[in-house]
Amino acid sequence: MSARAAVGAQRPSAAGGWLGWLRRPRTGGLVLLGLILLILPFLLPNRFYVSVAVLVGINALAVVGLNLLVGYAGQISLGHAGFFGLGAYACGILPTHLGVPPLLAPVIGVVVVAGIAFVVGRPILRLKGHYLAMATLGFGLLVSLLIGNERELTGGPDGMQVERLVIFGTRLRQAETWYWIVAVCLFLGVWVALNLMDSPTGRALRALHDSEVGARVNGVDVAAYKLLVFVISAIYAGLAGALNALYAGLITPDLAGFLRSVEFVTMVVLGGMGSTFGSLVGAAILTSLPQLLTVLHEYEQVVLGLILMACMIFLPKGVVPTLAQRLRRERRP
Amino acid sequence: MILELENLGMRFGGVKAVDGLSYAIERGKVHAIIGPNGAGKTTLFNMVTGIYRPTAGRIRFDGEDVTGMPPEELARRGMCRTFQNLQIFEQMTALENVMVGRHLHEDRNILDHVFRLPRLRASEAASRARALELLEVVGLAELADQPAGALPYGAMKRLEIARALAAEPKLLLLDEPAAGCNATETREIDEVIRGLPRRGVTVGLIEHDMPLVMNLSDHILVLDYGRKLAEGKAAEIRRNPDVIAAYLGTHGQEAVAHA
Repeated sequence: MSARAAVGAQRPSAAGGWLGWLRRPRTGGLVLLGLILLILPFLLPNRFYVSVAVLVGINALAVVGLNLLVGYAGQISLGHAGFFGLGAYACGILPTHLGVPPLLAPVIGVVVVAGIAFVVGRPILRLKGHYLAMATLGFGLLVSLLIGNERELTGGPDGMQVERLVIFGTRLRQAETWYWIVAVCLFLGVWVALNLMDSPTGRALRALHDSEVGARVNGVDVAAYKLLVFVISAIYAGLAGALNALYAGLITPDLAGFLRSVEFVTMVVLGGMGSTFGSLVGAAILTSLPQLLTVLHEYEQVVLGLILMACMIFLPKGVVPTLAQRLRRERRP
Repeated sequence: MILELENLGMRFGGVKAVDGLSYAIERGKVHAIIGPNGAGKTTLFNMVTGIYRPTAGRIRFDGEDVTGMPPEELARRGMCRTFQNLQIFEQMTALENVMVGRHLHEDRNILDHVFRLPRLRASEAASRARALELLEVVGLAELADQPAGALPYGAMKRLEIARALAAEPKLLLLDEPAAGCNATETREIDEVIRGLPRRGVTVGLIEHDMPLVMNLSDHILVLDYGRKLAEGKAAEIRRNPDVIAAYLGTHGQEAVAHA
């Protein structure tokens, strides 16, 4: 196959028409995601499963953002639950203590999270590898300690109530309603992530992942791009946290805890680093499995651990990239 | 003069890797820098391209003092380079590697990227077309969609040249472009470099392949222990007894005799 033909195959050609357009991984994936999101609630047997689906969607949103930072740009963060927690507590604190309208709280929350990420990211992102991991870990711990200790504002370890959103006189509390809100946010989040990665920004991030000096001599402002993707990933986490707070109606400091940060990174790795759709799969598996494994009682954690280990041994690049690779190999033997 | 070095020095602890070097590169020419291993050639490139900050001296590029500027700023001013030990983006395709070289010429408005606005599509199409052209120039068009990390060594070398050319530099610094390449690949690289001055690209070249250097260069700088040993046209360097004694040796004499 000549290079021109190969390149041409990626874009909608006259001959391919609609089918060719759908076959592009980007568009095809988005259409598939849209269909799944539309059909899923009608397949779920009861409200419990709908509520699990909402939690999957919220985590997936945070993980899609984190994957931009970890999977594409190759920068680790062990503190993203900090941003998640800040987004959540903004929705709790702003209306309760400052009289901000509940609908405005998530917006302000996300802006504040972006600002904090910008300020924290500047010094932290000069660090690399383990040092960056330590610094982000420190940031996450700081946020969760702050939330746990400021009883006046946050209610301390007992958590706090979040005022319910009211739209057109209806209080939004049903899992079914939140399913659609989260689904729309997730779909838009995935769309933006795919757009970003399929752009000069995405190439710059992937380039600095492989060789910072190689990227710099070609004019890529590596420090600026790292900061940009850090802020963007924090916005995803902050928005996910806000959705979580508004949906659950009760928030506790463990939303910002270290374990949740580790869970987010695990979801990225399990689904596949640098695969946006992989992030969805990673979030779906790690959010729903513990709920489904509760039938095993005390063996729940053991089985979960075994499943994770098996995934990483047999699907080392993550679930989605490894399976996609196998599919391609079978199609073109 | 596109590049002027004035008393440039780089000291690592007690070691002077480059010491009091003054040199100028003339616009539109191919300048080679030769010298034995450890003579300070790559250190010199690292200083000029902003990867190291020189411990002494000044660098003027295109008439302006650029001493201590970071690589991305120098790239913006029209300087690009390749690396002896390759700095390929291995997980990206060959085509994407070259498209990164287009970075400074692309639509970099983040809102266009986030919402994939029509302006971006035009910019992407132009980038892709230019990158494909350059892959053709270095003979890699067939491998455009291959992951760069899976390419043969010689192909990676040429890919880096294509990526650097994509940036449309005024000054291109090539660090051992022919190292590890077979005769055919070396000839292809020779042809690419030869065509550069006509495209308005001035070339600085570090290379050990003497026939290549002697054929290509308008001017040669010989470094030894971080100092300038000699400079001049290829014919002069070839006859310079200091150069022959210190660097080329008897083996080198044969090499230049055949060149």
